Amino acid sequence: MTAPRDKLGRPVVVVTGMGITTSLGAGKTDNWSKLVAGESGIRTITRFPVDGLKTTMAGTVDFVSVDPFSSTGLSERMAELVTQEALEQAGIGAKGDFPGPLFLAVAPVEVEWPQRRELGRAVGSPDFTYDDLLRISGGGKYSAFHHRFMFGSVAAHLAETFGTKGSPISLSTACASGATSIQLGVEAIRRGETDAALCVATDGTVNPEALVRFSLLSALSTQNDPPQAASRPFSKNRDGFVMAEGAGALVLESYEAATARGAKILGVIAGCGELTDSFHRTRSSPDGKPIIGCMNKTLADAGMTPDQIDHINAHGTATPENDKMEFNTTSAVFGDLAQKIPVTSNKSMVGHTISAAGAVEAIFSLLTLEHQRIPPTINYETPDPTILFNVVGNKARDARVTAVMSNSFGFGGQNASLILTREPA
Amino acid sequence: MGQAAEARGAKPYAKLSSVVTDLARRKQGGDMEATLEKLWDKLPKRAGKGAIISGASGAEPATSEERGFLKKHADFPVRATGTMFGHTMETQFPLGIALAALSISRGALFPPNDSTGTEIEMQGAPTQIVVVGAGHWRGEGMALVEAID
Repeated sequence: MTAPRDKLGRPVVVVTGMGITTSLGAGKTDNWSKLVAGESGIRTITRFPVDGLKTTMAGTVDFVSVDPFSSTGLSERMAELVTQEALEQAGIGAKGDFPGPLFLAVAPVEVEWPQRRELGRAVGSPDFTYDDLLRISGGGKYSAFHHRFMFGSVAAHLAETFGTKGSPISLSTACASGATSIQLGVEAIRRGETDAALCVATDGTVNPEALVRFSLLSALSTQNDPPQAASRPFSKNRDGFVMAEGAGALVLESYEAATARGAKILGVIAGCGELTDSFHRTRSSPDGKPIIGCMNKTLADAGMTPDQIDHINAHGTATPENDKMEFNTTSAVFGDLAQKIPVTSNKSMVGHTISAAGAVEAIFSLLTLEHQRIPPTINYETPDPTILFNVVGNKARDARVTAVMSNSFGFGGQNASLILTREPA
Repeated sequence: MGQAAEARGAKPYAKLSSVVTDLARRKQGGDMEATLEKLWDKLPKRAGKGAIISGASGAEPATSEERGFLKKHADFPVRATGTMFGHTMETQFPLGIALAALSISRGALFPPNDSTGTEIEMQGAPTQIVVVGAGHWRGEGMALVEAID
């Protein structure tokens, strides 16, 4: 049998396993049924006191417990759960022996407040210096903190648990991270280095510090009451994104390897692309060129034209700037089709899962292809008259969907897009 | 090889022939050393004068295991970058590659800087340098930097 190759002669990359956790719940079944029902996972934060904060809601994942609690610990636990789900579905390799590399999108890591307070108590006086911290940390008493708060620690844990091969890659490209992890997996398979790759993205960083930081950037919605109505992509009265937690995992394989072992093919990663500008640390370039270039590169990578895309899973953060920019740039690439292709933003319901969003939304896109049903963009009561997308507002829509573009346009001009299809072209 | 660089008139320092990585489980003594040996075997080394540039952090037990590995390849003179630069974490490995490329382009390894006898003088020009990056906690990597033919 000749290896199925794409138009550019590269191995076709397919998805054979998926796992997902968001504020809506654990697993594909629960997430999908709630997503198409238009349920919101956004709620008032109970994890820490919110007195005096402008934003008091988020899409926290409270049903996953971690002890001792830390954002990095929660990220790790969620990554473990979604990987288990994806591996069970894929039925690949053996327990603790995944036959390929790991690409992990994970939020930046830092020592968190409970651990800082513990160190402070050990010093024993309210004023202390770096030398005091070194003195109490000698002898390895806090080596667990050291290991926990290294960027590579989550990936090292997953690599050991699931037996992925080689040195695991931890990556962060802001809001594009999840899509980047998938892109790295696709490219490794296309280069012929491996027949399979495990791509995981996780973010459990709803903590006071992260919330305050995004708040200081005026990036977050402050429409706290009711929390379910806070995230309003493409609406005139949108006022920012809603922080959220979640994780997604995908098992990628070459079409040849997947069919050879009789695996069920869930979808195809037909194209991926990225383009980054250095315009500003949070804002995107006003001319939209990096976003336009990102979408064009992705279409070229898939060997497709805009008229072959019949659904766009938007970045759709609900910040005033993103949604406007997203419509303008999509129009530049798709022309009049930008007003015809059905567009939706999963973030209206699950919030912005930041480092995980690209993978979470790729999985929702693949479920959209499977069910031929587009989840709604909820809270779409007052459309922004300058954003002329064909928004799937408030109610799920049955549609013929053969190819989805899933977009991630991150802070700092870090952009990545994916094109997902049901069958190899 | 190197067509794009030559086409724009750039002068290459050296050739980065291979980069390999792994994640030893480091559960028992010798796990990491065994992984370093496996990576060493994967590098397409050739006959000719070679050297090793190590990014050892000094943290234990990683550095002792790396020392065991280095002793088995004593025909490759060693230089540890941590002595001069400290441990720069993520930067240590590319730093090693840069120093390897510079050494090859200048036709001489930089002098030893160590009182334990691990680093010895090297006579003549190295044609290949192996860069070793063994994480203080996790992760092993190696690169082969070669002279341009």
